[in-house]
Amino acid sequence: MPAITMNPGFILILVGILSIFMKNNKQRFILSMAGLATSLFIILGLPEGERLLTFVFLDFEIILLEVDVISRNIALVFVIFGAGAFIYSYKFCKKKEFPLVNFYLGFSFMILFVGDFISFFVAWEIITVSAFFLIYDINDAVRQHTAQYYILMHVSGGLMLLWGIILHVTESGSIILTMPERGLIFFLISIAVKLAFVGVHTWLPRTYANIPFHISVILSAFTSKIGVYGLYRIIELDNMLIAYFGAFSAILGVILAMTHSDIRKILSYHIVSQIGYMIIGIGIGSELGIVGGSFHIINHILYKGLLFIMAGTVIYSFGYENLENLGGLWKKVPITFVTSLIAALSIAGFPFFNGYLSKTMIKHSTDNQIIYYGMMIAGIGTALSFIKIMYFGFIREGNNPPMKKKPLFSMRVSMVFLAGIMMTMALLPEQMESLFNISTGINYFSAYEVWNGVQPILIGLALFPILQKTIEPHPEQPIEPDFYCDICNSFIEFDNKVSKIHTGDMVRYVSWVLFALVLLLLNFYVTSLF
Amino acid sequence: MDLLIWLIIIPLFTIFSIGIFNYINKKFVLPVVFTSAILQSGIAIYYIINRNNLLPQLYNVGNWQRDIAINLSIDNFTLVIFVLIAIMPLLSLLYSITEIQRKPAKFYLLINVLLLGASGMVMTADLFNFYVFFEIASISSYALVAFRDEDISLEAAFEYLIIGSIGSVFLLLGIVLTYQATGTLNMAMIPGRMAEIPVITRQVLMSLFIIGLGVKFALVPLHAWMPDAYQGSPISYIVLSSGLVVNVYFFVLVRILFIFFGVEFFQETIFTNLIVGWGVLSMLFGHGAALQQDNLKRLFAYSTIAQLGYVIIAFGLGTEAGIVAGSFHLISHALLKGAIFFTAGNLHKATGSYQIREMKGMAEKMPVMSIIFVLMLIAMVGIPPSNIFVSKWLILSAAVEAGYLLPAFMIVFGSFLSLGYYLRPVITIYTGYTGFPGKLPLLKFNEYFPTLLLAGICLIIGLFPGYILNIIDTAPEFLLEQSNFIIHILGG
Repeated sequence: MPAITMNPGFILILVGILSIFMKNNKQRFILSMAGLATSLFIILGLPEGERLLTFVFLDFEIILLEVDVISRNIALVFVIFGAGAFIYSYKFCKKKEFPLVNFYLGFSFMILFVGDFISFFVAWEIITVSAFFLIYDINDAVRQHTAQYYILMHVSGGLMLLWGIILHVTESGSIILTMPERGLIFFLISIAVKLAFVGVHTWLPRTYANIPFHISVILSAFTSKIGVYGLYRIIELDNMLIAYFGAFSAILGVILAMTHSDIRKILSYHIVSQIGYMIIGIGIGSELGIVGGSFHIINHILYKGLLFIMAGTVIYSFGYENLENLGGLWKKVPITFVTSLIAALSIAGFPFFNGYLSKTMIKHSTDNQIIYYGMMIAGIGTALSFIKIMYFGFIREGNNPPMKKKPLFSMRVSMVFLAGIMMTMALLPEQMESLFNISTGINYFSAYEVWNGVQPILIGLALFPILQKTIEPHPEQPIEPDFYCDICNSFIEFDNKVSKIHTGDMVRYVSWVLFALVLLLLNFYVTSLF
Repeated sequence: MDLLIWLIIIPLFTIFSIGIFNYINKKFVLPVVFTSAILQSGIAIYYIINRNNLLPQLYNVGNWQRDIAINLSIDNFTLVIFVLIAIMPLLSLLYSITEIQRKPAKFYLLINVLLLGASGMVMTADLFNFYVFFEIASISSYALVAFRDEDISLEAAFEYLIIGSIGSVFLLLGIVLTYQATGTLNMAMIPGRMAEIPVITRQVLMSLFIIGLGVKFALVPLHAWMPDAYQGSPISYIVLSSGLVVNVYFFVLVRILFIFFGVEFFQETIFTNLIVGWGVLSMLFGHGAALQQDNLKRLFAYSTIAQLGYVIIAFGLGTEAGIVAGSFHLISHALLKGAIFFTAGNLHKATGSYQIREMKGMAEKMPVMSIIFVLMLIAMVGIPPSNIFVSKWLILSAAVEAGYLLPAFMIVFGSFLSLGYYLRPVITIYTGYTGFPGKLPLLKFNEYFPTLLLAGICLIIGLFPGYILNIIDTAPEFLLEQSNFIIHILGG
């Protein structure tokens, strides 16, 4: 097969530009799928471990193509999920959304394969900007507020990244993407914002619960995984502290998830929690841990994407997303029910589903008891909250919301497509291991492992009747003010004061000039004394 | 070829011919103005292209002895301003064709006086002529601010006149004291004699120069005139002011400080820290005050103050990398801010107001201009691939290399603040609104062309910063090494 050495991101960026000129959604959809197919073809033929497509920018060598196993596998799943998301959503996408989604995907692909900090930063920031435009809506004040929150959060993270890069580059003199020599903490802050670490996760539920469902499908699958990938590229030593932080994030994420009742809010907090698992894997830093973490990224993109698709279908068909208003859906939308059950079992780590494989890998990569029990608790929480979604949303009798629209054929196709791929992956663990060039020797389907995997779910099932009252669905606000809003407000107050001192009074302005002169002279006088 | 004197002769002749042609036949005014503007740009471009074999160049007016002559000089550092002279006046005049409907000849005349002053200030090599050109530029600026004859313009012009005159007085005092202390006004002869006078006198001189010129480039707290002046004056003047004239004042101050006193003197007197700190203050204050502005022009006036803060920090470092970074930011900010002001002017055509809240829903009426506006504002924050990203990168790495970690971090923080206030007009413009009165006027070629051209240049500089860096990378030679400048002016 002739290999094209090209960063696959560029294809999608090109497709994004072209799709501006297309006439209707069908053409744009076909073009986007063609773009994805081309990039799939390119990814399969990319040579590993070489630094290609280099050029010089500001005395630095930019490396636009550097492939390793993990980036290639993540790119493959990006292609698969990108295709699923396009199939799912092309009927609802507005004209402006196709180019933006393509740019967003294109730069997400690009960031997987770049080998230097400058292009990493460029892609990092453009992902933020294109997501901003996707979230923004001209007629919806809530989405405007959300978009503003999103871009402020992410740009502050991006500026931290820039600061870290500057520190690293002035220290080491090279911009090759590697473990930074100085300012590691700034890289970590930046990545923490991108991957929605607990504490700076606030943008995530706020965003994904307030935007149209087809956009939340696309954004939720990629944004935070880029952050995890960035963590993988930047942390090269084994760092147990980071693994502890990951466990902390995993537990807190599920606790927050259980207290909410909008489906997409629960799913959003679950992203926070699941990202915790990936951080654990990467923080442990052994080969098995890293592979487990990145395999978890892949699984997570698929099942979380599928769950967001489920949420979207429910919103499309019934018009509600608060569990309070739902119930007994399994008879009305059986395909949605079955596929989302598969996804829910996967995310809970039930044996013979794909989340189980990567969770087992991460568990096997360390002997640390804190991590082990942390993952156990997080697993129980995950099981509980998905029992909550499944029970209150699909199974319980009670509310019987009328079905407004039947799910479209394309929606069902994408659900079955993604569920099929997930099940294939789940049942072929050896092939998955060989895709990562690793042989773990774990017997995934032995009784011991299966028992280990089932435990948290059984505990969750046992706890559910006890906790049912406390986690019962309740109505929710679209935007909850938080700590960061308070900071912004205090800034605005301060700035009000600053602009109030410009009264237009000439005497005041002239006295400023004289004051400055006196201060300057005084300063020179004082410094000359010493 | 000694073309540099023509940068003074051409505007001078244009001023008189505008008067004459306006009296004879008004049709000839525009061609005369544009011929002169194109010639001026051409001269600047000629020097930029042939920089390797022409520079440094000295023109000795009247062929007197070099130490008493009126010297006009151009060296590699001057090219920083020449890049702007090549681009900004022409585009600003092009834009003014539709904007200035009332008394256009008077406007062109004043603009040419301003250009004369600016070119003179950049090229002159003695303090006396510098002061003459300084006053020429200042007085024409006061008149241009008052040009629209509205309440706010007149008030702003008066304000600017008073504050500017106080600045001029201090500058004149500084020049007089320099003459008293050194016995010469030739900029090349001052450095040698300056070293002999007491430190405290030198510091007083330095303070007077900083205050005198700082008023003009809106150093906080001498900035108070700028938001008012921008609010009251036509866009064409604002673009020329923030894109060229303000930068010229800053350029001259840098040259005076570096040549007269020398970098070693700054380091001895902790002056570097002071200037860097002042730059940080200027930047944070500008960004902070901009957050609450209702008027688009005022908002960008504060933003200009803040962006000049970055430049002050970069030059204040006193290192080679700092000077290159500062020059790069000077140029890229001037170009991008010019484009932003042009776009604001275009959006203004629909609403007739610069109040942000009255721009509600513009995006549906002027989609292309709105999206350009938004992209440029985001570029201004320093998000790649804009030219501001490159300049911020250069400034940050220069500051970190020089050991100024806290000021460098403040630059990052300032960028974040700037995003906060750039989002406000963006969100107002992109808000659904149907109550728009009437039909929109179509944009003319001379309105959208300057906008698109400047935006395009910014994007190209962002992608290929080498074009500008090649021009300015030898600039530090004539600042850090006083001897280079002295030999260039006085001969071996």
